[in-house]
Formats: sequence, C-alpha cells, structure tokens
Amino acid sequence: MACLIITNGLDQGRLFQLPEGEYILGRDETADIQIELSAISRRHAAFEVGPAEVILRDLESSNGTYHNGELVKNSVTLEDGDAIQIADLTLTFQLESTSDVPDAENKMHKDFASTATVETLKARSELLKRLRNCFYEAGFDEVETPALSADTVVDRYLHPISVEVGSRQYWLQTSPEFGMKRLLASGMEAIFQVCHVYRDEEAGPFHNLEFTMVEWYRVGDTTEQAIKFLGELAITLLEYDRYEVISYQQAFQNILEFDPLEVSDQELVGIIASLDFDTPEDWRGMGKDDWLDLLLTEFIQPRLGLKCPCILRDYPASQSALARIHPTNPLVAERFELFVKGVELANGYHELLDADELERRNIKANALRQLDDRPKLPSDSYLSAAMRHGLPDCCGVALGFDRLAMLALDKTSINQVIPFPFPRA
Amino acid sequence: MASYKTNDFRKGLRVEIDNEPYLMIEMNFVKPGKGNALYKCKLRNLIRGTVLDRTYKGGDSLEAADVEEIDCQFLYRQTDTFYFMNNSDYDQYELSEEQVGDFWKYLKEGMKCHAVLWNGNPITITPPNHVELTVEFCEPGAKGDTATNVTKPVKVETGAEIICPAFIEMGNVIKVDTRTGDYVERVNTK
Repeated sequence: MACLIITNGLDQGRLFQLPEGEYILGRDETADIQIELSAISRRHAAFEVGPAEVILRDLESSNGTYHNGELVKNSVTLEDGDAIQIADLTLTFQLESTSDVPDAENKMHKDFASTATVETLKARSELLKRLRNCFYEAGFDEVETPALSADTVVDRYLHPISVEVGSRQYWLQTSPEFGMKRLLASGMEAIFQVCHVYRDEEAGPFHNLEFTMVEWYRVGDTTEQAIKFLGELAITLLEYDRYEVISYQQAFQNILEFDPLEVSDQELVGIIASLDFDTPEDWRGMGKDDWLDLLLTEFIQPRLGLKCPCILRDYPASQSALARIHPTNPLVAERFELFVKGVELANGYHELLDADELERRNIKANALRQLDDRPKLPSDSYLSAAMRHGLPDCCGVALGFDRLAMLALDKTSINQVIPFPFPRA
Repeated sequence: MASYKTNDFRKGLRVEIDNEPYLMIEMNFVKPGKGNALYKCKLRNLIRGTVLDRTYKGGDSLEAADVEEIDCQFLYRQTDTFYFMNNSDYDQYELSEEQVGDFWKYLKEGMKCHAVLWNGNPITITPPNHVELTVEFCEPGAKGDTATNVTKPVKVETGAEIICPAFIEMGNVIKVDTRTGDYVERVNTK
C-alpha cells in the first residue's frame, strides 16, 4: 500500500497509509491528514489514490506545495521516493510501505519526543538558574523533602494520588508544605525548594498532573514583607519595573461593584443570576466560596496583572486554607495570590500556627469532601505534631514554575514548556 | 449505562444530554488553585447539528451515548422512506426524508454510505464525498459553448437538479461533490 512519511520536525517518522481513495492534507479538523502548523492551509493539498497511480493536487494553498523542489502548479503524479514539501513540513512518498508498523507502535515512535523545543528547554534552564540565584542572594537555603509521604494536605478541591507501599498508604505531595514546615519546626529559618508535585484530575493548557513548584518560607516575615519579596521576585524574573497590590475586597468592588466580605448568600445568587456567563446548571446548589470563585475566575482574574504583576491580598476568612485569620479583621485571612496577565502564578500565607485550628479546618474540609463523594484524607499528621511542638511565626509562598516559564517565554500551553506532559509521561 | 466523570472529559467524547446524543467538540479546563475545577464544553448535537455550550464542575458526570459508525449500502427508496443495509451484519434500516436531508440527491441503489447509529438506530447517513451520476435530462447547450463559466441546470438519475457547465449533454456521467452539491467534472464512460 502507498504511504506518506513525515521526515522532519516533531512528527518525524509519522506514517500515513493511503488505501485507494481521496485524502485531504491540511490544518482543518476535517482533513484526513491533519497537521497543526500555521503555515499550512486549512485544505492544503489532496492525494488521489487510484489503483495504478497517486496524484498530488495543490488546493490553491496560500504557501504552495512543492514536489521534488518544484512548485506544484495544479497536480503531479507521484513516484516512489518523491519528496513533498508543504510549508515547513517535509514528507516522503512510498509506493509500498516498507514497514508494517502497527498503529500503536507508530504512535509511541512519534510520542517519544519532547513537546517543548530544545530552545525553550534551554531558556527554561536559564530561568531556573536566575530564580535560584534570587533565593541564594536573599540568604535562603535550598532543601529537599519527600515527594512520597504518609501525610497530605487536606483540601476540598485538591485530589492527591495515593501510593501503597507495603500495606501502608502514602501520598504524592500536592505541595511540599508539610515537609518544609517540619524543617522550620526543626530549626531552619529561610528555606526554598524546587520540586515536582502531583494533583490528580488536573489537565489543560495551564495544568499538568505533575508540575514543578517553587516553594519558600522565611521565619519572622510579616505579610507585607512576604508580599514585597514575591512582588520583587516576579518583576526581576519577568522583567517589569513595578508590581501592584490590591485587596480581594477592592477588586470585587472595582469590577463587580459589591463587597465580597459583607454580601449575603441571597444577594450573591441575585448578582450571579443577573450576569450573563456560563455556569454549571446546578450552580445554585453550590456554596458561597464556590460562587465567589465563579465570579473571580470569569470576571476578575482575566483583568489582573495586565500592566504589571498583581498581588491580590486578604482573601475571605472562609478561604483561608492554611493561612492565619487577620488578628484585627476576622473577615479576612492573611492569604495572597500573584497574577500576571490573568494567570494565577503563586499563593502565599502568613502561616497558621495553631494545631487545634488546623484540626478544625481538616475536619471541615473532610466533611465537604465526603459531601462531594471524595475519600476522607488523614487529618492527623507530622505537621500537626510539628505545630504542637512549636512552628515559628513565618510566611510561605508556592509558585508554579511551569506557568512562570510560560509567561517568561511567551507560550500559550504548558506542553510548550515541559518536555513530557502526562499523556506521554 | 456507562458514564463519564469530568476527569474523562475530552474532545471526541460521545455523551447523552436530555435524551439526545452529543459529540464533545471542545473542552476547556479551568481551575483556581484552591477552588473547584470547571469544564467548559462545546457539544454538537449528533441529530440536529446544533451546538450547545455547557459548563460542568469537577465530579459531575455525563452518560455515555451508545454511538457507532458503520458502513452501509443504500438499497432503495419507497416514497418518503429510504432503506439501507448494514454491510457487516446485513441489518436493514429505514430513514425518513427528513433524516436523509439533502443527501437524497446523490443516493443511487447499491451506493456505499457511512451511517451513525445511536442505540442501534441510524441518526445520520453520509454518502461518499464524490458520486458519479448520469444526466437524464438537460436543455441542449448552444453550439461552441465549451467554456466552463456558462452554466445550466441538469436533471440526474436520482431526480435531483445539478448546476453544470453548458457543454454537458444527456447521457453524460458527471462527478458531483456531495459536501457542496457542486459539479466537479465530466467522467469518461469509455
């Protein structure tokens, strides 16, 4: 059977068998041979495969089709071994496919390659070096804590992956938070870590199940100092001349004209119903924090950090996670997040120190998880033991390094900055 | 019936919503770090072709649609009903004029078609991209009319009217693109 083989680029080695019939090559979803390269027209060229001959026809493509180096004016009859060039793509035509590689193996053959270019991987390495230097210069020590631990963060919407070792259940860490706080309780003072973390069910242009997190803690920092360090780190690495800070409350008041801290459930439902945007069908059955998240994601987040990195601070107390509640304003938690060009990049806390409060929050999160039909997560941990022993007053921040690389290198998908996304891990 | 959790959502999934089959043609994953995931989907109705925008939250699920694509053969038409046969198990299907839509124009007895079955019943029929049809009636072209930009309607064996260049004559076989309804070329029959 006749076939086409891609001979360059990421899809090198990909083979298309051509049984008798007509095949369109193009960028269009309906094309028989779909190639997602911008220089290729939606319907670029056609292969008419007859019993005796194969005809290549250019479909008036913008960038033309070349056959053995010559522009195809209308159509040509292909011969064994002919070279075809379409935009940046080169293909070889074979009258008889020499290999009878089954489809699955053919896919493996193609999927071995990195989805990020060599150029991007080198730039990513450079960015990581600059990031590490920022921490060394500020006097931080680099640490390493277990990726596989008996403890896990208990959060309603974080889904850790469990691994059985012997007969005991362990967890791939969703962040190195517990391990790093144990180091603070053990006597370290300014620490950072660059590590892989794992969150089940997260996949999309800004998500990969396994991703790289940069997390740091410094004993004695106030929220103001922690925000300043984060803001300066962002402008250094992403090359801005300033950053801005806005409170969660102010952002809602500016953009949606209501106070997210004082609004009643009933008023909030009325506000969402009056706005025209896509919500889950059963959104009315969700809770206040979910409603605020819907509005934040749809209306506020896309407008944060457009001119310069933006730190959103003082989240509602109900969204404190592991941050402490503000000592003089019980409506807010000392939690802050960094956004650049609408992308959520980092999350920071003035850390909760009270072990009893941690336990109450874990019980509540587990109750909500059970409501969602999610497994209960262990509430007792080495972290609660460390907190009972005495965790020093500190601030901590976690930053998604892959997203930082996307912004620094102007990429639109996480697959462009990591070599092997989960589907080909 | 099988169902898909949000975690399984991806382009190309066939699902059932309000008792109709849909194809997931777009899926966007959105998730605030500490919030619930949202899955913003575009779904195409496999019967009517309309597109539906739906947002699901992490943990939701959709029923899988029992949709199957098969090769079949057009047998014959009896007034408003079209009869097809599954090429692999010889099951016969009846489709209404409405279900066949404009494709009746190209259906010749014995023609191989592509069908989509939902719960074992055909919901759409697609003829090959190109079909060859014999011209049964047309006005004679004016002498010397060989240019392709002068056109006229002709009536083909299925009863449909196709716009052709003026040089096409009765008894000619023409190739037609079923996706656009356009004349492609005259076929040499000898």
